[in-house]
Amino acid sequence: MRNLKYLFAVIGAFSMTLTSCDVIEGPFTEDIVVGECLGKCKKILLEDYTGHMCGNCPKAAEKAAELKRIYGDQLVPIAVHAGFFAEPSGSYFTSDFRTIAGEEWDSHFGISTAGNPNGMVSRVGYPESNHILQYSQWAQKIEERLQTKPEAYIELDVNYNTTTRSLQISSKTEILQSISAPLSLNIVLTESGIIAYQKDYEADPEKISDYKHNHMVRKSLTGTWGTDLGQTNYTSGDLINNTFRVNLEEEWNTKNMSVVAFLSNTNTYEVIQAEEIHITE
Amino acid sequence: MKKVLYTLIFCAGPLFAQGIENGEISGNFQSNSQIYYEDADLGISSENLPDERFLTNSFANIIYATRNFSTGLRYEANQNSLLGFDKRYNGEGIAYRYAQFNKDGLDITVGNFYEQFGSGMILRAYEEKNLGYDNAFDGLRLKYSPFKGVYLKSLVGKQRLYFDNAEGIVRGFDGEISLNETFGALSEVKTQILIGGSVVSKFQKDMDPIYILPENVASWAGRFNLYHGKWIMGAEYVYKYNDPSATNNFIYKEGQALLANLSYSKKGFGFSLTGKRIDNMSFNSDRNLKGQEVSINYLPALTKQHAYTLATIYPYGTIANGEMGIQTELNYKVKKGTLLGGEYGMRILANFSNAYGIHKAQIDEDTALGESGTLGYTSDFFKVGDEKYFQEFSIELSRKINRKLKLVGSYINTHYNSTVIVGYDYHGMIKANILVFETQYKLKPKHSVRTEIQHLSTEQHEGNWAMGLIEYTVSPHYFFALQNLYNYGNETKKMHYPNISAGYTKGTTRFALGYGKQRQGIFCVGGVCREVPKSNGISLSITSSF
Repeated sequence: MRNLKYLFAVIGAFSMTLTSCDVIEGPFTEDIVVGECLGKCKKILLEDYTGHMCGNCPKAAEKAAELKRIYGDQLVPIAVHAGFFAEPSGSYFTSDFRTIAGEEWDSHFGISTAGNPNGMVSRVGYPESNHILQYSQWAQKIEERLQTKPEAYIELDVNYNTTTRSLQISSKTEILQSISAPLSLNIVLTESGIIAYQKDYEADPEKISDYKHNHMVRKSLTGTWGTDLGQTNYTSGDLINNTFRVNLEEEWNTKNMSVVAFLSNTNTYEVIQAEEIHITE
Repeated sequence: MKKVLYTLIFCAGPLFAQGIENGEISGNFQSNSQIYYEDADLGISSENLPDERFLTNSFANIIYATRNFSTGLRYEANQNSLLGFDKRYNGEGIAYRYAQFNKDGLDITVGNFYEQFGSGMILRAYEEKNLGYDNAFDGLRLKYSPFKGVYLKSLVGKQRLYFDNAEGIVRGFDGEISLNETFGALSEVKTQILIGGSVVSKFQKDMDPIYILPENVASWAGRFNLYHGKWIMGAEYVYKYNDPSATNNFIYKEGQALLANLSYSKKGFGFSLTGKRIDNMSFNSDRNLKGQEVSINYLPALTKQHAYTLATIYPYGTIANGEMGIQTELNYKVKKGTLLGGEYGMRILANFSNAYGIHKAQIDEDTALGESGTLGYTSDFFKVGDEKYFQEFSIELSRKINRKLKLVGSYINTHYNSTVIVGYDYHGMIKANILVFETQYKLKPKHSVRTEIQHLSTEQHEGNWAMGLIEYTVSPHYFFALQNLYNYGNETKKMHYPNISAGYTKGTTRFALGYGKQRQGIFCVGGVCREVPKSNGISLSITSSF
């Protein structure tokens, strides 16, 4: 009898396994609803770590673009050129799109040593080992993040002088939920539409001479880890204003440039809110 | 995790108090460390050295076992991980702990465990520390044998992902019957028959904004093995239901795999023939993860595993999205006393293997091959694809000349489709010829010297390589080795990679110290590539067991 009891238990496990299968007959895709940011909504930072010599990276850039179309303003993508595949190389890949901050982020978070392409969604999961995400993982992590309520909201305003190429950025950070941690505000400049060489293993020839690089981080105005907002405890309703000034370099096409701001928990590096504004309309 | 461990040890203890008194503790330890130096020749400056300068990968297994109970843990300390290993392994902690007990014939494991169903094509959890691979389950496993010759296994668990677990939950069942053991009438029959079957299902929540994904994905497998005298024959077929994933570009096609083998062996002669067809069989605990970190199954590469350094430069890895191939191996010993065999005979080992893509056709005119969010493609089961992925022929002759001298000669011809296999750069089909000549000479009792001369010639990739090795062993305690790899055919820069190493063994403890240069490599798994930087440094390896 005892034998039979165990046998039935095992058969039970077997039948549970057998029935655990969902077969999708079609349609296979969701009706895509473009995200609309109503009021002070959550905005997610998507970092795509890439390099012009990384032949698999264009796929990640395509995924970032696809997700941007879906999530609209709620997603702020940036492309960080860093690591081995971003180094100038040979006679074609002569551009150096690396930045000091980008290299230090890459090194600190161990992205390119884990491989390219890879990225992070609001730097969630650090320092556990699950902060590095392949581009196929981005959508799910973004969905998860969007389920949480915004803890802060950032408003940006820019004032650009086309003659002197000087840019003034004003930020207003509003705390929406109490936060017991120091916070850092990061301000970076990004540029899209940069035409330069890119390796793409799926292209023929692999060296694409007129590849369009988008959301490329050009400079961080707040060092590698941002500007400390001054407190270790914040309560709902706190407002912090900051101003930043920078002169834009001649080679940067300001028409395609944006200011990206992201607010991070200084202790955990987790980005709790992001924002983006174009420099020129 | 610690809480769980304490619970396992202290709560399980009283239950099995009688057995514990007679228990035994065993374990093993391994530590690999390296100090990294600048090297102008290799272009390594202080800037691109690892910040830590000193890196180490270490672990220890400690197991306590009695007749019906065992518990154990593995502590890992990678502070920080050696170059070439994923930095997500940085850190320390108990990465593996379990308790296993057997009561009334029911074998129960809670915690971590490794497992394999059949050939592993439906489920295999294993670890390969030197490759930085570990996909152990964390959960529960039951094994039971209700009748003689009938073996049942069931499990539920999550798989290890660095110092965490992957998201998916895996459920599995496997049953195997040895007909000759179960049925008395067959016990004396010369032909032994084993029949088995498995079902594996995984669960992962659908959070995707684009695709409607199956949250439960099942697969099943059937297999048999037949032993008749000197003959062995076996086959396994696996079917997997729709499993859109990052690896298959989110197509909804079913997956299939077939592995069949036939072998014969008698004294001085043996051959084996194995064939496989794999179609859309990547099966991951996390559908969004490319690569193999949390593979539920294992798809065998069916190629010869080489030990000679230059023969390992172009290793094949199974293309889970689709491949067909065969491997055949022949070994023959030329009798002693013949012209070829000489005084001691000569061993001949020949191997041929290949892998091609599978046939793929569009599902309809409007849908591109493998397009995401569709059934992907159709495939004729018996039709081989046009693209060759890999082919290798090798022959090895080894002959003992006299009581002191043994010679081994090898020739390997490899065709390696680098675009498909690693996709790291456009070198297309790399065709390489490798020659190896090895001598083993006993100078006097316990003293022996071994030499290797290797050459790899290819017109592609990094061009020709040469290698020389001399190793002096005083058994059982000491060894000393000197080797140099020379990439003299490299058009960019010809480079030497010398290494010197020495080791000391006492009982089950072994120390090895080395100094030298390592070549750079770019490794890609599932479309994610990482650079394993070239390096110059001192390495220390310690292994021990008790």
